[in-house]
Amino acid sequence: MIDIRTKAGVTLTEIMLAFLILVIAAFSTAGVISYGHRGTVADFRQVESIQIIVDRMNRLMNMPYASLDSFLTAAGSDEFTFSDPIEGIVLGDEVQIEKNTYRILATLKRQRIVFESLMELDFPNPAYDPASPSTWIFRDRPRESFPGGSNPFKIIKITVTAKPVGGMTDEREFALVSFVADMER
Amino acid sequence: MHTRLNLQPSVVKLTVSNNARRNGMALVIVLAFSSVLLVLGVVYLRSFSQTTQISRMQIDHLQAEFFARGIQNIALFKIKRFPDFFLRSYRYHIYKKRRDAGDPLVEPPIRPFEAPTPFEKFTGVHAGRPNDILHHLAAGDDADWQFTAPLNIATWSTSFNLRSSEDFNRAYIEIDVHVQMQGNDNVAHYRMSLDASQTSQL
Repeated sequence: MIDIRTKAGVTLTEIMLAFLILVIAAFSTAGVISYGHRGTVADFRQVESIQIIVDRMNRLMNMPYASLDSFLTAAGSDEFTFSDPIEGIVLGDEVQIEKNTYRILATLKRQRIVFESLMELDFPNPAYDPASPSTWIFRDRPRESFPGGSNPFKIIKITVTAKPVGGMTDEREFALVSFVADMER
Repeated sequence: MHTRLNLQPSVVKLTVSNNARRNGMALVIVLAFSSVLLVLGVVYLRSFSQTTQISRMQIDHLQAEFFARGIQNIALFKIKRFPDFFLRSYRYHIYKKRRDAGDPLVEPPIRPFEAPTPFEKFTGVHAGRPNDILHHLAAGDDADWQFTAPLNIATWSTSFNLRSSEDFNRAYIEIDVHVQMQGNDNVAHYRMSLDASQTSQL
């Protein structure tokens, strides 16, 4: 009979130990699931951020160069970050899209460019035949740069960024960069 | 009496045996349950980290694509700004290739071919000049111009082609841009094709 009581006590200790292990495992799992849930929510917001910058960039790139240039002229600078809607393109520090909030900004910049190593046909060339490249002679010509001023800018750099704000975690900002050229003049 | 004495030990033996079995079962069940929870947690975390990786690959791809579209716009601007240089240097480039291949129908040039060729100069990079806006910009120039910032682009390059169709009555300009993002071994290729009217004489 004494032997039976000793064995019963051991069982209670084991049950308590087992319960402790179970509690630790359950809390750990709950933590992992909670972490995963936060990650899933953040991931969804990041995917939505990517969709936003693609949309904004497409709309800005489809605008004529002159319109983009006029925004910079109105802003009075060669580079400006827009945080207010332009031409129906929604931008802002806190743009609400369904349940989530994003900071969506667009930066326009008149981009300086230089074309070097330019050439042209060398004249006079008595043997010149327009239909026969064997008669063509090339010579170097001065480079052309478009740095603004008397030789105005011809390229605008567009940078669009989007970042989820007000979430449970600090999420990364996404950016796209592209260029629009003045094809009209 | 004798019978009782014989029975008691057997009952005690049975009780001890059942307790021992239960003790073992409790621990085994808890450990099994904990193991299952652990495996579920690991699988969940792994699938989450893979999703994040896909998201990074997706943004890399989009950044390269939009940057390439911008470079194509600059390349097209160059063609429109210097159409004579582009068309003549391209025709001269084809002529030189035929001549180098030993085509007997091609006459020799009135002046020996020079290196770099006019078309190599049009594309912007050639021996002695590895730096151009349509190709890789040196880190110093890139920092000065803030050309690629805030993207992490390792390198990019541009190539041009002029294709003919409908028995040379129509032409297509193809602008290919190749972009490699930093930390990525893949080089992404993007092509812009433009229908261009063919001039009868250059």
